[in-house]
Amino acid sequence: MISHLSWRTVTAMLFIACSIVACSKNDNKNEIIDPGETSTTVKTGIYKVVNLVADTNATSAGNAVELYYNLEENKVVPASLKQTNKWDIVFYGIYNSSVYPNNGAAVGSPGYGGPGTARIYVVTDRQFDAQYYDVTNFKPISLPIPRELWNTAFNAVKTVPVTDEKMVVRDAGLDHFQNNFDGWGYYDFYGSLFPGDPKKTHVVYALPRVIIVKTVKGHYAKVIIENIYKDNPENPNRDNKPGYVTFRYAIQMDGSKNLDIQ
Amino acid sequence: MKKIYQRLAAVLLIFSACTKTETIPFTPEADNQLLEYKIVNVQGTPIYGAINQADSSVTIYLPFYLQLTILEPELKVSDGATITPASGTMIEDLLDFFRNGRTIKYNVKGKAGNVKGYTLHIQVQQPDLTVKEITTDPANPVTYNIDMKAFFDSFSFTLNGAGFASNLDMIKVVLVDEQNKEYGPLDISQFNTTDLTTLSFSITQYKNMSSAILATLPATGLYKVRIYSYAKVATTQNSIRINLLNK
Amino acid sequence: MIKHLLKIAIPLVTISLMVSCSGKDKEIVDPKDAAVMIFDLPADTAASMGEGVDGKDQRQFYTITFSFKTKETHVIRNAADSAKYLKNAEWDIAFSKEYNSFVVVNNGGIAGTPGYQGPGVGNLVIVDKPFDQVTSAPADTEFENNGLAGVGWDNGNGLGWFFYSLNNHICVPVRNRTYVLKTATGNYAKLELLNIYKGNPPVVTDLFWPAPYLTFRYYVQTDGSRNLKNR
Repeated sequence: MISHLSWRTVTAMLFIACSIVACSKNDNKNEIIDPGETSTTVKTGIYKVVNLVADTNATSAGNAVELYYNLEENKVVPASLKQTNKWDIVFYGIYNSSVYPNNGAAVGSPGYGGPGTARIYVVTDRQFDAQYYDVTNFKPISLPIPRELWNTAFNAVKTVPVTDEKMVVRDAGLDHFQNNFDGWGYYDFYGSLFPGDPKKTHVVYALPRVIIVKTVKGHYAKVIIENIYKDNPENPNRDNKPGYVTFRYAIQMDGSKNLDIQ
Repeated sequence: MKKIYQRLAAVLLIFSACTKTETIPFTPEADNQLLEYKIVNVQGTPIYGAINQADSSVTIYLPFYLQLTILEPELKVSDGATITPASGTMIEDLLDFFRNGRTIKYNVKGKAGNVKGYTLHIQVQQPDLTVKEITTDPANPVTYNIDMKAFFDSFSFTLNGAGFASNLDMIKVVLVDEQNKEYGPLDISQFNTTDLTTLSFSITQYKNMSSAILATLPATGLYKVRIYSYAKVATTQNSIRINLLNK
Repeated sequence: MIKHLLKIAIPLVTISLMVSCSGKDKEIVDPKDAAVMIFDLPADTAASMGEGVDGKDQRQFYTITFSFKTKETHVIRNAADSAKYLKNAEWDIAFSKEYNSFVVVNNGGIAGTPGYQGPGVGNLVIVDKPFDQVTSAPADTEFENNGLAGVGWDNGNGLGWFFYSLNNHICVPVRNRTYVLKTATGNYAKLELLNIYKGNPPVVTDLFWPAPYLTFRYYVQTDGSRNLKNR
């Protein structure tokens, strides 16, 4: 005699079998909910950012408020997003003078711990530098540096000059200030370029140096910083307000290393 | 031959009789489920959350060394369902979440219109945070004096312990009085990216460069020292005394 | 960062004017430790960053060179001193720039450094481990790829020897960081930089603490090998 229990089991199995069959008819697709693309990326081209307010309370006495920038969308990103892929470079530290790429593996980078893989490279051309700069002692020969040199330097970079491995994850900062790295700006600590003028101490002079950036999305751009003082004065002194970054960049959105962009 | 048919009939009869009385209810698969939850703002592999459908929860296990202060989740839900907050909505200010708590909930609405809510839990895999006492004998608290009228005065003390975060942005140190009121945070005067067992503090009185905490402290007080380090908190058992002289 | 220091009048402290021979430094000898400990090497204590500092001149700090072997120091005040003391392989590190805080190696190929155009082959790589635990020098590829001319202020990028605390303007040495060097003649050595304040205090809170007085420890391997075990 077949037991009661066995019948229950058989029935149960039959019903389960039916429902499985029924389910497998559905594709069981799981929908990914798209938050919706509200951001707009720029086209390949040249973009100028003027008087971007970094930290208007900036003095040399402390770290300025950080300024996170998304080059592909040409906009500032709030600091709360520092550990995300929403920005490419940040203006950080004293006078916003440390330009870090968004790289989550880089010690000391504000993006540390996040997903960023951006890199940068400061282009140096000593022959070009000699026009305005003492290449042995690493300081400008005379100030102001002619503005035309920024255009020349920017236009001279027509392609990414190095492989990705040669690009770095540390910051581009003040030229040879407490280190031996070429930087984007010269910090005249003692005011030695203008002896006897106390208004000329602790001034940061931008240099016509191009910084190559590989964005978090993998596109290449060239950036040149023109000033960190309000209204881009040609010959700043301590009366000028720091914390207002003026810079120019050209970005190549086709994925290539071509930076000959008009 | 007849016997077989008889038996077959009997089996069928029993079968039908059983199906009438033995029914296992059919549970259709829910259309309003959270199926995948992953944190993508990290290097390499995303961090996948453990989803528990029975208690409607998602648990994320965060490694301490990433010291994340924001989370970017990517979500998958049942076919045809919608979720709020939407996938990609950032979870901001994790330090505040760890210290003050916050309920983070997701609602999944299925095709049929039923909503299932999930609560997010975050577990940080963080080493123990411990502090060594500054005052070893509670009857004799270590005392610091600072002269508020002098040209310049300062005092300093060191907090030793274990498990301090290497990034000082993850750390907040406060003084706690006997009513459990917090003062601070204290300015940490030593960057210890390599020494994770010591923090130094100096409180300075000098013109307009005085430490901010001095304006909030009473003339005398007993304070425990409390450290918040990423997701953990530790407080000394014993207090130190701080006297503001000539306040 | 130094702006506030400029506003502060530093009261008179004991200052010895630098003379161009070895300064008064104390050497601490621990019989179990083969490394050399230099305590309170006075750098350019007559210079200051700002005006109105009693007993000090407001001017750039004179570079001080140091020899690992002889422990001799030389002050480089002018072109004559440069000509006399720099282009040789007798010094291994120099304390240069603001507050003598930039510690630079002797390498003839690095423009802008004191040893430029001299015979030195110095180099420096950073190893984030305590001094006693660094037992051998890294491979030459490490020196080639990550070699630095010197170390100074660490702005957070991990490439310096002190943090400058922007809350209270004090130089705080990075702990448990060792600098593996090639000396001027190419021997491997290791160095830890401990303090820039007089008396090597563990914590400095006083803005007026006498400086720069360098305290540091080093070990040189003279047999040409990479072995850097000092204990």
